[in-house]
Amino acid sequence: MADGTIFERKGVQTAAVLTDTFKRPGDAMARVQGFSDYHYAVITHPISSLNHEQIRDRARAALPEVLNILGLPHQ
Amino acid sequence: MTLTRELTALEAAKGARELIDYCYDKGWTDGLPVVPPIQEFVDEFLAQTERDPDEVLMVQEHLDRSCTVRHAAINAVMAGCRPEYFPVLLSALDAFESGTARTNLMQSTTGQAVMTIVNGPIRAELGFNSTGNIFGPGDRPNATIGRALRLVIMNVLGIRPHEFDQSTHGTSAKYACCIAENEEDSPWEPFHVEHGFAPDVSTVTTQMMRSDVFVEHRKTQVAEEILATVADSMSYAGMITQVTEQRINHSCIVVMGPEHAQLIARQGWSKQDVKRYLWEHMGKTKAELRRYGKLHADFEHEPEDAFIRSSPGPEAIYLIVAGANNGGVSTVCPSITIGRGRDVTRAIKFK
Repeated sequence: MADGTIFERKGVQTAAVLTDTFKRPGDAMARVQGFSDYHYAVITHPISSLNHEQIRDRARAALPEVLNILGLPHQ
Repeated sequence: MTLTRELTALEAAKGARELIDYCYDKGWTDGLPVVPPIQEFVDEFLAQTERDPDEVLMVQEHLDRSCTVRHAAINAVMAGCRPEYFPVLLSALDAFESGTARTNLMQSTTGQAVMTIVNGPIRAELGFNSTGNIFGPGDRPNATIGRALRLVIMNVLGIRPHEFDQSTHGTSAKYACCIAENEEDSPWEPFHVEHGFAPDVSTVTTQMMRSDVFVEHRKTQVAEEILATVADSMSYAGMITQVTEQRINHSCIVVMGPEHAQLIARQGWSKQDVKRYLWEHMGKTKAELRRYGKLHADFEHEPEDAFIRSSPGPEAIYLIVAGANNGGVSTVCPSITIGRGRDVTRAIKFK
């Protein structure tokens, strides 16, 4: 979350992705960085134990929200 | 005590409890009561150093937080330190800042504690415990300096549980973890001398540790059997990180009990010999790593019985002698920070 907000401050459009269990520290970090209403994508926890196909499923699930954050059209 | 003085003391105690509850309400505690940091107390601590109260000791840029000498004094008061402990805390914070504080591991799910190691004459001067119950409660310098460091992390840097401290479990060592080396019962040169300081210099060292693991071996007089037991305790499957480059960069703080250390030294082992042995035997075979599901693809080319070391070299192992000289017991503290940062050992600056 810190990286995402720092990129945004430098003018780089960024979509941050958090697993649901990290929403609270994520919101706190956004607040500290001056982005209280920072919009980010949330996926289901966990991810570190997933195989490639399961990770791909998580990415697919997050994609519409990531595109929305970046202001890009959905296919 | 006269009745009037007794009543005054009772009123003072009630007032103290109100102030303690006020500190709880403000969110300034680690769950235990703190000493209310009134200005008079804070000034007593600031008088122990020539450093400017506004000097910045630590910075966490991503959290927009920094810690000054005054902040440290306030939290030292709250932790229950005596004013004369303050130079130790300041030097510990210096060592932490240039060492491992910027690894962001204070916020990690691994939930690491900051371990402070004290060497030199200051141990006796301030009454640090270096012997029995070395990781346990009961000694004010150890308990309160360790606690002050944690309160700085929580109150000043803002790294508190359920928010920026994302520890899955944490460890009870996060309340406080400050030990002094038992230089008197050690057969080897003290830690600070090994790292280039004169014996009569007092130093403080900080590292991060993931836990403290009990190691027992009371039934042998063979050095290699003790060392093999210590090395195995440094290598348990749950310690091994597989998912990042850390898989071969583990480190460890070995706190060896005097009985183990003396038995090993009597058989001709130097401190460096011991560190080399522990490095050579810290790890698992490829077959074991496969069994635990912790075999990284980098090691696929190795034979199945190859021993995969977990640590980059003997320098990644700290060897401290501490505890009572009353049993064949040691403790190992897995870490992933030895070798990171610089100047993790500091001479304590006195006024």
